[in-house]
Amino acid sequence: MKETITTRQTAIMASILLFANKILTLPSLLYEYAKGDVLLIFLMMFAIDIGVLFIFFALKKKYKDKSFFTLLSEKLTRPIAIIIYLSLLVYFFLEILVNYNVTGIYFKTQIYHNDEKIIFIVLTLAIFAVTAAGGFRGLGRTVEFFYYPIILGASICILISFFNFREPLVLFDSTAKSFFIGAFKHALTFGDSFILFLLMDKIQYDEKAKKKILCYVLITMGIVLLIVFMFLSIFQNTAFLHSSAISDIILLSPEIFSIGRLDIIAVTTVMFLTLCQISIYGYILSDLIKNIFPRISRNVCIFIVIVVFLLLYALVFNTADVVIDSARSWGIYLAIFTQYIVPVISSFFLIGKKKEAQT
Amino acid sequence: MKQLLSRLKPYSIFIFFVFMLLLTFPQNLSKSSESSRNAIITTVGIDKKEENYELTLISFTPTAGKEFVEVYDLISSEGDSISSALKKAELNLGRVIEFYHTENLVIGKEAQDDIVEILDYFVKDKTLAFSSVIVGTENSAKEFLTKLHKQNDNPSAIINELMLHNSKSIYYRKPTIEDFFSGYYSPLKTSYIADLGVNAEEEDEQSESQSGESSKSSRKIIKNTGEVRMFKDGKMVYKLSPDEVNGLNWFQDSITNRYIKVEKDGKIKMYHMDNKAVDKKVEIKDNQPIFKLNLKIHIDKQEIQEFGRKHVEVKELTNKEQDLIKESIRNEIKQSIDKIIEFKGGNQVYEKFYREERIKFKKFLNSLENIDDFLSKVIFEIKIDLLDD
Repeated sequence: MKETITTRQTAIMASILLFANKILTLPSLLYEYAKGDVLLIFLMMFAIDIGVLFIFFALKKKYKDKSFFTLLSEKLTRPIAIIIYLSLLVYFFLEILVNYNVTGIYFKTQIYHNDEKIIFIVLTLAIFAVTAAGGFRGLGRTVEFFYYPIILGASICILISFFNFREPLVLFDSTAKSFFIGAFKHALTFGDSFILFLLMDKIQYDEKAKKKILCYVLITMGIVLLIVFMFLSIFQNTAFLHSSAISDIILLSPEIFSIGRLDIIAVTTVMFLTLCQISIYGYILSDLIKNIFPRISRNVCIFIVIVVFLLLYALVFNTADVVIDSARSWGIYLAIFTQYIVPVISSFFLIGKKKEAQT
Repeated sequence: MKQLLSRLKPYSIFIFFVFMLLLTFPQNLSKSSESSRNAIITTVGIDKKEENYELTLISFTPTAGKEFVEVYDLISSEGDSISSALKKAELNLGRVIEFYHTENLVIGKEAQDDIVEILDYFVKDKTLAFSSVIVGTENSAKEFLTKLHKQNDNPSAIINELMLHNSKSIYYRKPTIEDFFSGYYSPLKTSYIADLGVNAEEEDEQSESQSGESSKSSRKIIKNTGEVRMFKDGKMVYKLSPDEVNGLNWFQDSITNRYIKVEKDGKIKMYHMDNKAVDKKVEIKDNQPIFKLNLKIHIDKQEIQEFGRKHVEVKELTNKEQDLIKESIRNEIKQSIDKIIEFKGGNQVYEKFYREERIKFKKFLNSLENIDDFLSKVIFEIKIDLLDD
């Protein structure tokens, strides 16, 4: 029997991935391009994500139990499906490396002041291996368990940040060119809705699913937007100097600083988020390999992912600069292809059905 | 083997937990304590001596015992760069210097022209918190901190107390590193830091009576000058006097309690303001920026005649008195603005125009040769209402 997760767990999984790589360095990196309009970039990219989500809803409604790989194989032939899945594999390795490096720097600054790379890498891979081996249902329950602490932590950070609020940010302050360049260069950090396509055969989809998923996703988007809004409003001219948005918004006030390690709320939230995100990415990576090489067992797939991750990390992507540069150069094209072009191609599969029905 | 592995599989998380314990416990147990490896710095002082930097650090050493005793040490070192001075300090201390608990940064007079590079180094390389308070002093930072340290008190607490008071009565908010950079990266590149001095006389008195009660006078070692140091493009350009700072504070909503000094026929009268409301509006008419300041000042009718000698309650302010008070406020504001114009500041006024009249303001800025001169072109319309009890 195929392992499936409930609609609620699906909604939570989609929501948790929305936080990925967005509440630490991204607002600061985007500020260099769009100033206060960073908020509008987030809004625009989230709107596109919701559009992608609707394609997913339609696709899932039509092909209830089919996996995305089967769908691609049937509609575009198996070799093309394999090529798409290989590009997805590269994309998710880059995504997990970005996540690993960004949070790695964050934890190093906040907790491990000394360079404790080995501990961080062992923990990351262990979390990934255990959750991926535990199966998709286990993963669904794990993210469900951590969802409310994450939302609570993020909400407390927003609440505390109001004490540091001075004046709202200035909107429409950047040129259209720099605005779109900023959005284009950081495309990899958005487009998280696409992940649901890869899990479509493992999701229980009832009548209320669409509403439920949208509700969770919109709440999470609202929280992310509020964090970005507070970050930009608090720092304005100096936003580019601050690389940990969720922590920095609560640490600015000297009075709050004197309370002590208040940032523990932000650190714990990011810790839970990282745990969930790495688990999901890890599972998806092993699932992609399983689809390309169906004869290999799940455990071997996990082993392959761990080995490839270690090799990539040790040989190529061993510094955050290399990873972020890759994400902002060739990674953009890969991201646009996987996050947006593949869903658009998939939307053509919807037209097919109507024709079939007519005939 | 396969059988063994399948039996262990349900306990994989537990096995992993034990593995992590085995990996980290012995390593951490063999390490010495954090406090003996790292020096916790609470206050940093920086001076420049010709081409060398001198660092003065106050470190906090946690000590185990029945009573809570705070031990603060003073360390000083010199080098041709901040990093080399820091390296020397670490060598002398035998500990790695950590800035995670640093709350104050005192910058000596000579080092103030390098303030951007200094702050940049500490913030980026040493992860000093952006909420740390910056204090400038006319003396050397070393002298300042040495005298503070002599009081056997927590120096950062003394500075913090003063800054907390000043942030409510002088600066309208604490002058932190974040504030400094916020001004530095603004279009006018103007920023401000707090100013504190050392009270030499009080220090002498203190040393004479050191055997007795020291805590009462220990706070007086620092002279709260009420002055503010103004920086343009990262260089110190002017020190605003307390009167000039007061003049600028008429623009701030948060500072509501102060005395207004009125002088007439050689007689000084002081009126106490116990509340005020500030309404700021901007408009640009025919490429002419106008800043409208509407002040509603509440005078609590306390008049002190010949300050310090007589204390008289007045039932009502006469029209003449009201005019005198208004004139005094206008003069104060004018003198302060003149100084800001002279040294090409005015961030808040610039921001206000930019936020509220962006298109017209950009057009106005384009008509200027240098945007630094914008404040001199602004007309200030000040309306003052005096309210009684």
